[in-house]
Amino acid sequence: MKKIFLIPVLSSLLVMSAQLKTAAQDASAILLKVDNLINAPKDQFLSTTITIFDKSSRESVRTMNVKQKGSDKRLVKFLTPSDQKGIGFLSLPNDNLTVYLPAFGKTRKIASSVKNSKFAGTDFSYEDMEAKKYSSRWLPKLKSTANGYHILELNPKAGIITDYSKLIMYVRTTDNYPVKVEHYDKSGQLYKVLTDNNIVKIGGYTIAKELVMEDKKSGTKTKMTITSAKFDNGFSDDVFTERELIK
Amino acid sequence: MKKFSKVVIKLRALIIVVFILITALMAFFLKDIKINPDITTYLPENDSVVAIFNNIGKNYSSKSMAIIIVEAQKEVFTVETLKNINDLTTSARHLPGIDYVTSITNVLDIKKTEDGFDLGRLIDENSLPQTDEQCKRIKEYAMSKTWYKGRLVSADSRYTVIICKYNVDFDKNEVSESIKELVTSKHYPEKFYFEGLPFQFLSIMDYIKKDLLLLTPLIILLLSVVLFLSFRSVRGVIIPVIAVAMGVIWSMGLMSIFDVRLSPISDAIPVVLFAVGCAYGIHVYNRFRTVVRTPEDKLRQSSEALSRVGVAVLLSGITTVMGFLSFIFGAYLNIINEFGIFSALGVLFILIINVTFTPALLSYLPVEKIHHKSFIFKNFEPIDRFLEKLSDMVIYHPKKILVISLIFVLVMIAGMPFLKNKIDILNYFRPETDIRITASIMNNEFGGSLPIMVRVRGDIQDPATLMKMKKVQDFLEDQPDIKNVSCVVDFLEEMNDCMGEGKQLPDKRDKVANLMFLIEGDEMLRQMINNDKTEAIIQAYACNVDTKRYKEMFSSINKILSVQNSDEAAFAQTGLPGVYSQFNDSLMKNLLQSLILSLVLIFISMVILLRSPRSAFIGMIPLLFTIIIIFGFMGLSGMALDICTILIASITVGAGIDYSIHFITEYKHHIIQGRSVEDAIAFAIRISGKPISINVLTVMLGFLVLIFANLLPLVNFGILIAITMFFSGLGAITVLPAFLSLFKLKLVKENEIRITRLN
Repeated sequence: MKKIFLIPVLSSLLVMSAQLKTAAQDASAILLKVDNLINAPKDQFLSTTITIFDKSSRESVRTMNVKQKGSDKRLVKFLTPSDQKGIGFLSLPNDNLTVYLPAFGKTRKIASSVKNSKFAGTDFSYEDMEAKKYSSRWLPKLKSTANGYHILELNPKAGIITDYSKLIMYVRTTDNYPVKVEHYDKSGQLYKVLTDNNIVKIGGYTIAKELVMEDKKSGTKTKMTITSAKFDNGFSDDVFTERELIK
Repeated sequence: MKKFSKVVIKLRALIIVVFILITALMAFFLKDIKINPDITTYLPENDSVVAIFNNIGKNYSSKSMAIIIVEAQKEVFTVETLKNINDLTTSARHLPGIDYVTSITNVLDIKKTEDGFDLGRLIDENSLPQTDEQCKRIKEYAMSKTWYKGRLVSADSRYTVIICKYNVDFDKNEVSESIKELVTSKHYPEKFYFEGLPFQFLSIMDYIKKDLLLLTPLIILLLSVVLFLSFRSVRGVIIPVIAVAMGVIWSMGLMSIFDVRLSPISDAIPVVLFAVGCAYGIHVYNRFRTVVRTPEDKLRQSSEALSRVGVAVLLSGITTVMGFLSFIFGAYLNIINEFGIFSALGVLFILIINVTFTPALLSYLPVEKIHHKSFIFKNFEPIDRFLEKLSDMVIYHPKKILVISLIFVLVMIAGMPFLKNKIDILNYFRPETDIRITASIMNNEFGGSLPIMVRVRGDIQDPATLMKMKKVQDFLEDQPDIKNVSCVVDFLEEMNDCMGEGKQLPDKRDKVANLMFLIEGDEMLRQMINNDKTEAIIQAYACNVDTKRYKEMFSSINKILSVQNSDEAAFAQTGLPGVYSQFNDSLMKNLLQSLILSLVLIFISMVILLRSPRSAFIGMIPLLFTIIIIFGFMGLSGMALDICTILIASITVGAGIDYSIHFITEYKHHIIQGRSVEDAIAFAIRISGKPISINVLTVMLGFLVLIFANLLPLVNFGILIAITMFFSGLGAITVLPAFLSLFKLKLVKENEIRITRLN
């Protein structure tokens, strides 16, 4: 008699567990697709304009060139304003970050403990600027799929040091492009929102020509506009060295 | 007055209804009255020092900076304490309304290394020290840097501070409350103290609330007891108290309507109004119960009662209103203006209520039996005997009285040079209060709690401007009472050293720009320099010292700034020592201004009342004596002039003159009756002496309620007003009649006496 009752309970548990597993697999698969899509180019060269808006919406503008290879090598060079021209950052695997100050003609290491600091006065932190794959740092969970978006909740993997408690990512179902990422602080409050606008295809790669990071706590905003993008330039590893940084 | 009295009694029902409706309406608004604990808004915005102070407060959020002081059990650099500080820093950072939190566990650190420098954190929050050895190393490093020692950690490493910057869009008090709740909820073994303007605002708000909720019921209770003992009648208690209560509700309801918020001074308005305004209701009620004696013809008697007392009450009230009005002109602090306006309005409302609503209400009540045990009618022998002896003495020995008074006044004049100003807001709180305790920790462990700020305008990335800033910084560091001087120069020197160019300012603008770029966006830097790099702040802290030293500090800083000022770099100073210095300068000026103004206003009122400038002047003699006595007493006793005691002179003039008016009115009445100067004095002392004594006692007791106030200026204010009321009353029945007796002054023209006789 008891068995008769147990059968439907067990079978529904099995179904639920299978569903959960599928959902997790779905979420991981979606995040992997996201990573593959945004890191598709072998390398890229981006000319970028950064506009920083303070609380009173006053603007300050900078321009920079970014060279990136894969998802963990990046070289940034500032072009304007004139007193910041030539300042460069070299980001290499294992939290290896070096800065070059042209007025001194010297490079210096930056400690990983400043990862939650603002990058060059923008609303992007050093952590936000890291060229790392989401799937290497975050565990995804599919919250829902509606209105043309997968909504993923990303929680940090064990051992990962981050300033955020979780991310909520809105991924377009059509092409798996992440159009919006909400960053939550350690108390679970919405801290920053990254919005990707003007998403276009250039040379077969999908790219957002405008990224806006809003700091919901301080009311400031930073807009990164990509003015030109070149992909698969054939950058060798020599491009991502201190010698290139000081050039 | 007769016509007016008839109209009041005729329209009594309408008056009662309308006044009750107005009171209900005002009470409705009163419930929304707000408290303004922001002491920086008490200062006049048009003052240059205050304007810069407010500008910096707005642009650099210095008004939204709160400090949690952590007192470790032994020392801060232990595994446990650092873990707790990090936990608190992280938790506080995530509280709603907090923009950022800086503590030793997340402060930016520029560390020189073999291959350059590490731009990182003093302690990596993600990799806290786990052993005593690691803690020791961090301690050695931190205490070797002036950037941390004495700023973030006390010299003995027992105390450290966690600095929280509030988001200006949030309610500061709510954020402060949430920080306190957070700290309490953690149950750490360390002790915590709360410092900075947001926490001070919270404490002041608490004190204002406490004072209001304690002092108002206390004075009502006290006056009720005095009134009951005087009249032995419930009506005798309720009528005067209701009249004042209505006036208080009207006045404070108006404050709420005009969004004038309660301050540590205006929260004394109910006490002041009850102490000063109760007398009007007493006079009206007392006249009614002596005049309205039969139920028949009650309305006519009511009208007569009002017409007999109305003028005296109105005139006595108007002089008090004049006293309060004198604060409106030229007071340095906004809160004194507000106090003057709403106290004057309150007295005016109480007057209007007592010559309309009170008689209208009394006219409806049945004729009252006079209780012969009531103090006011009882033959209270000690007072009568004293007044009898006093009148004899005044008549037979006026010279003696005047000489004794003069000697007393001269002694007090000798005390006047010792009169001091006390303008440091910290001294307004009792020593056992949180504000005083935390300020003393800041003074002892971190070099001071009073911010000094020097604003620099120019190209901040220009080494020449930075060099000037460094000179100012060096000067400030050399001052004995100034500590923790910080500005962007410190960062730049440190980083320049790390770049291998020595611990000095970079020699080129490009180098400065490069270094600034690196730390741009760091919260500490944002407190020192604006986004455009066209304005910077040199910040320092001063210890709580005496007023003279604040003044010296302010002028010596101004001197060095004037040397550094140029077309390229404009320096301006602000901060609490500067504000205190300005306030100090204005205090005596304001006192004299309001005192002279009140004396002129009262003199004009007296001339109108007594129809003789000479009588008016003579009537003011006791008042002038009292003013000298009170300032002499303040000098000798060490009670200082402050935001509250500055009010004493004008209130004394306004309220204290009543006793002279009572005495002179009575004296003139007897002269007109044809009595000799001596007889008129004897009658006047014996008749008016008793109500004057009761009035003095009531007002004194009323103001003495303020000794229970949390804010010390209110306590001194209460004591001093009580003393001045005593001397004003005493002067009216001793010095004034002695003067009249000695010079045989009748204050009435001969033809007036004859006309009265013919009539």
